[in-house]
Amino acid sequence: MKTLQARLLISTAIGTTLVLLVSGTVLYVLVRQSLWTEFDESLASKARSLAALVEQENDRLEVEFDEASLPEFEPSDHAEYYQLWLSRARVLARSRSLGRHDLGLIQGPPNDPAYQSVRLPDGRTGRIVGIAFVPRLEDEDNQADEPLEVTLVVGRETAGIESALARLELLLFAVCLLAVLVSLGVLAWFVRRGLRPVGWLSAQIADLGENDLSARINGAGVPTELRPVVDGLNDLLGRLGAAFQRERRFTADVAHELRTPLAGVRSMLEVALSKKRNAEAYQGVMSDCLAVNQQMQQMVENLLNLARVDAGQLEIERETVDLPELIRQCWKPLAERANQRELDVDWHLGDGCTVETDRAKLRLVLLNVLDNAITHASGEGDIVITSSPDDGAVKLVVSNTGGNVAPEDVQHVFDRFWRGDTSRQASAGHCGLGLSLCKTMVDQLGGSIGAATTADGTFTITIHLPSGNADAERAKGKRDRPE
Amino acid sequence: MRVLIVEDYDPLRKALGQGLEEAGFAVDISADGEEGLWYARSNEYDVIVLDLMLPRVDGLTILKRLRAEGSAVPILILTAKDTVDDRVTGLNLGADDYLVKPFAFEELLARVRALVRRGYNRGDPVIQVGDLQIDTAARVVNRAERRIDLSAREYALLEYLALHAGEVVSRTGIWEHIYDFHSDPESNVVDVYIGYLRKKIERPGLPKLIHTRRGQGYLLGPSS
Repeated sequence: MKTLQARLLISTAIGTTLVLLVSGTVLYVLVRQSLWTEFDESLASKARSLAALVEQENDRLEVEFDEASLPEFEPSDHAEYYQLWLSRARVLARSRSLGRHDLGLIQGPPNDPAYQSVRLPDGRTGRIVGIAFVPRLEDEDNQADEPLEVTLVVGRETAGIESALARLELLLFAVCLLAVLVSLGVLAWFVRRGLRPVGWLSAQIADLGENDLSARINGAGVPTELRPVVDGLNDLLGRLGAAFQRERRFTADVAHELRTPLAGVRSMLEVALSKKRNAEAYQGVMSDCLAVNQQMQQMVENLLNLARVDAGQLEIERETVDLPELIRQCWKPLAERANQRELDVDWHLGDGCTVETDRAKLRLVLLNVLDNAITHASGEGDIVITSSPDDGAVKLVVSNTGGNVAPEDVQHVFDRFWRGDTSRQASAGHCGLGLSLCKTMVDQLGGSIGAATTADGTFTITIHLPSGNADAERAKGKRDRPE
Repeated sequence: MRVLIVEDYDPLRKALGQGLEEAGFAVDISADGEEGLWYARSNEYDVIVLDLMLPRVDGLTILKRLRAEGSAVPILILTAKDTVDDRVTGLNLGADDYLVKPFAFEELLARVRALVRRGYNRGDPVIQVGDLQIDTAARVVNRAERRIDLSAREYALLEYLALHAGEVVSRTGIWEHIYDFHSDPESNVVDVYIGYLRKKIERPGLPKLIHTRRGQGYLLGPSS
């Protein structure tokens, strides 16, 4: 049985039974011992009083038992016995109840009774006591007589004490059994009562809605032992709820961001197909669709990378990367757009900017940061790209004019799906994932990324990456650390 | 009929503008909320197609402000959010209809046309003026069981007159509802198009339908 109730019940029942058995046994042993002691003492005193009646007269022994005053030694069903031995060979006297049987001769040191349980001559169980003694001299003045040592053995049936003990045994057993049964019942009631809060708690948990993580377990009146359970569950519910909320918002944002370009492509195609057009018109629509398709692809890739990081599936493969060279590579596909927007680009790529890092991940970061700068720079504005060694690290600074991020919003630029007010206007392909991905990636690479904005609207992204070997080792240690 | 599209996503805005224009609407487009609100205030649109997530001023704010100012212009909301809450919020703030992105352009067109009819308190897409029958859904015009072919502009003018059938409409009113900001028509273009329309619709033996009210404008209706 695996229920808590059954376990508690069984273990307490076993405990109670053991306690009852032990105390019953101790009680029985004590009672039995005192009964036997009393019996033996009474037998011994009987023997002594009989022994007092034995006298020595010169070299003759006289037994002055008055048979009439000692009716218990007459033959009967419950007769007692005595036998006076001078030696093993010579019997001086025996009770009439004994007939011609012997009681047996036992003796200890003089005047010290010795006991033995025996079968009495008529078959009853009994106990005998033997006392060795020197009979009293009839003439106390006559010292010449040589004292004789005799042994008096007295026997008595033990049926009474045995039946009393048997009754006691039975009584104790019955009491124990009753006590166990009663305590089982009482215990069952207490255990059930004691476990009621557990049942109540499980009912509360069962009542929690599947989809409603805002509900909490009401902890009022819960026993102290269950308090941590209730608190822990409520805490878990809170965290789950928050995670669900985040997930739901994220999914809604993703759906929203994918639906808008999908709506664009669909409308473009449907309008284009609504009547016959010339080749140029179709060409225009197709290149527009292609652009939207590329935006969506970029977004899906960003999402996928974020999801991989979230799931801890991103593997970092480090190699020596020349940062300025990688920046130039990343700029190539973006250069045309920068030219179209007539942006001035200032390059300050310092020497000695090599980093031990994952080339592909860093490339993704650079692409997003540079693309962000091109997108948000005001028309005919400036972009400044600077890379320099910086105290064991490599610093990359990308700034653009014409940013419209309010200083209080700077902290949000790395939030997923956050976007500055007019960013969508500038290019709807930017859905607020790029910088979020950058932050996640730079964190994975063991670096840091920050954003700042000035009053004149210059928006700056600063990235620090560990450069040297020592840093690479440290970063490696960090990477190898189990998640 | 004149439509305003306020949508910040370039490809969608362009496509909707082109599509509605080709469907015979005079279309103004705007990419941000502030400009969109200005357009909505400065013209009498037959329908406004309004995106909700907009730079500067969001769609719901535009909706609230227009309704607060007493504007009854039919507004169709475009939204990428499809939860009941999102839709209900828009409708409760005074939107007349909504469409969840992505949508079929045909559906948008049908809804816009339905909103135009509703704006003129007409449920039936077919308008009957004497023996002239204008099917605004199919954009087909018949007179006395004979089909009349009209250019897009002629049709727009006739539809506007038909929606106001029995009422005098001013030249300015006509102008505002069949031309958008981008067209730069001659000042007498309305009279010229009325002339074209008369030639196609009026025929000997049939009653005159387009009447000139000197100093006021034009009226479409059976002879009074």
